[in-house]
Amino acid sequence: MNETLLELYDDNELEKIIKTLNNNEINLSNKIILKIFSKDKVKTIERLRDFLISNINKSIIVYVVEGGQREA
Amino acid sequence: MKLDIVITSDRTMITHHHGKEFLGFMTTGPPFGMPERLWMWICAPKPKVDNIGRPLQAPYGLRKVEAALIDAGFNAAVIDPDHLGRHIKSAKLLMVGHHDYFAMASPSVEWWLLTGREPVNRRSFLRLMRRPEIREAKLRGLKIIAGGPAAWQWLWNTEFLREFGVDTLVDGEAEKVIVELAEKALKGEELPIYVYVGPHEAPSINEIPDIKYASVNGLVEIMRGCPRNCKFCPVTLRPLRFYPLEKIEREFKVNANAGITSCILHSEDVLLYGSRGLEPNPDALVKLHDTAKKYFRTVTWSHVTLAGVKYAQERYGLIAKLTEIVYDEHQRFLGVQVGLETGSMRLAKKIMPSKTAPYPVEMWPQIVEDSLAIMHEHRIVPALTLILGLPEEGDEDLAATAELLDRIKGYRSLIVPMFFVPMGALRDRGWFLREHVKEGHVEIMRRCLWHSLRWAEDIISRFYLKEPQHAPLRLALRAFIAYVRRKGLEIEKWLRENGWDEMVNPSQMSNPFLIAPPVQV
Repeated sequence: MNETLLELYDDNELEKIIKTLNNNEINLSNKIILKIFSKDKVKTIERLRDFLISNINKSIIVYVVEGGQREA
Repeated sequence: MKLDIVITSDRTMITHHHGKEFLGFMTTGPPFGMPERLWMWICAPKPKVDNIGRPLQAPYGLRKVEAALIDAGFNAAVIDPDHLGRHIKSAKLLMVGHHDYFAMASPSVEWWLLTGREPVNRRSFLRLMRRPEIREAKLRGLKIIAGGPAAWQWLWNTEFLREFGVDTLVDGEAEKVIVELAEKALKGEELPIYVYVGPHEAPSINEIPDIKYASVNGLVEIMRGCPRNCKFCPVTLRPLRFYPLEKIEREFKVNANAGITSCILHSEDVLLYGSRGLEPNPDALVKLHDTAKKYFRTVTWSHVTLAGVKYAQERYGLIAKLTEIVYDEHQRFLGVQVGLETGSMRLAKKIMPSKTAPYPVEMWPQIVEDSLAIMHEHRIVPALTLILGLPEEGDEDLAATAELLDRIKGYRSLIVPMFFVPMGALRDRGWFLREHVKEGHVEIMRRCLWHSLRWAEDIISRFYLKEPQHAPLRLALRAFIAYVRRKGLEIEKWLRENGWDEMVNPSQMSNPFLIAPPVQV
């Protein structure tokens, strides 16, 4: 099982990051674990929806850590 | 008995449908022509429960989750929704599953679009989750995990994630992952908000537990996955696995020991059980049916394909052989759901080129007719489903479908047109909504309605609900059919006077359709 673990911040850059999730590293993985620091996990899931819905081949696990902030 | 894990669903799921699976389709509609209580009594009566509120019969998927948790040593059980209160106070984890939580699957979405009224499956599920006992338990720290084949619908209804405090969504075959999630929940560890089980992590046959308690109407899986790769189908994305007959028989015994007298063999194409590619395995099928008939008075199929029926009969005489095994003084017919999908060869080539295999896709209309003739002759009653609004569908495709419906008028069947819902390999496509309905769609729906009404009356007269105890139910269904017939004539008259465009863009209060989109997408 090829796994990819990504830690992301759900701020304005999340959508940009989601667009790059089709890079080579992700394509080789058959499991993606996302750990997202966010103020609101439901909003984060809404923003991830298109990515999650379009996936059919890979296992995906999404953790949302609420209240997390980007380090300076 | 104190449970740590309670598994449940709402009444439209935890029911035996009076022993008649097809009645379960009524849970996808709003109460039409009668009060909701009567509608629910017809399609989703309460099953018997034991002294702690466990239903005698429960959905097969919930039984698999229950079995996986029990095998892993958890104190878990499927509980009837009316008996939740006594268990939820002390439980640490609530698991819910559903075929169609929010009426976003077909045919729910279509009935909602056409009538403007919320289907009972959604109403019933929301009522369940809004119960004060669940809310109170949530405040005390109860964790909630939602799964099942409709788990994806929560992504489109995130307001309910928030309202009910759902901790985790599980989409896919959950038998392995659910144990790990239960451990985390009970230990108070962090839970993921979303889990999708991809094909690489699908459980092997040895990792799929046997059910411990009876399933609704004796439904038992005989295989998982499907090799036909139709683009609209999520099941074909799963690896193909056949249950060995010994495993199936163990589950037959569970159901038979609980007093269930019927059996539904579940597969996307029952005739592919034990197959080599798309070549049927007659020995395996005969043994399977012989074994099932040892335990049950009636044996039915969940799904077959039209090409599969034609080929199995023409090559091996299998339809004759299998119906000979199952028909006796207890059983005179066999009901099954079958995908007709489209009458257009052009669309068939694009979205389901292997659906017609081993025949070439160019033969599709002939395959449909030949297969229905075989089924009619052998008293197999198919509920055919059509998909309207497939991506790239054009007027010529709708005309081809309407023409095929004319060709199959004489074959006993129900035909249910369904609006396209993005699933399977097409899950990133757009939804089929009100503004997409065209005159060609309306004409197909009209033909399906009259075909199904004609044959529904025949089926009820000759085959269905013949037992004396079902007389009130038969009466209720006849009254419903008469109501639908009257309503159908009213709608046709309205269409002749006002035109089909008025149907999708209503300006008059007297519009009998009252169409509204089901969800904001």
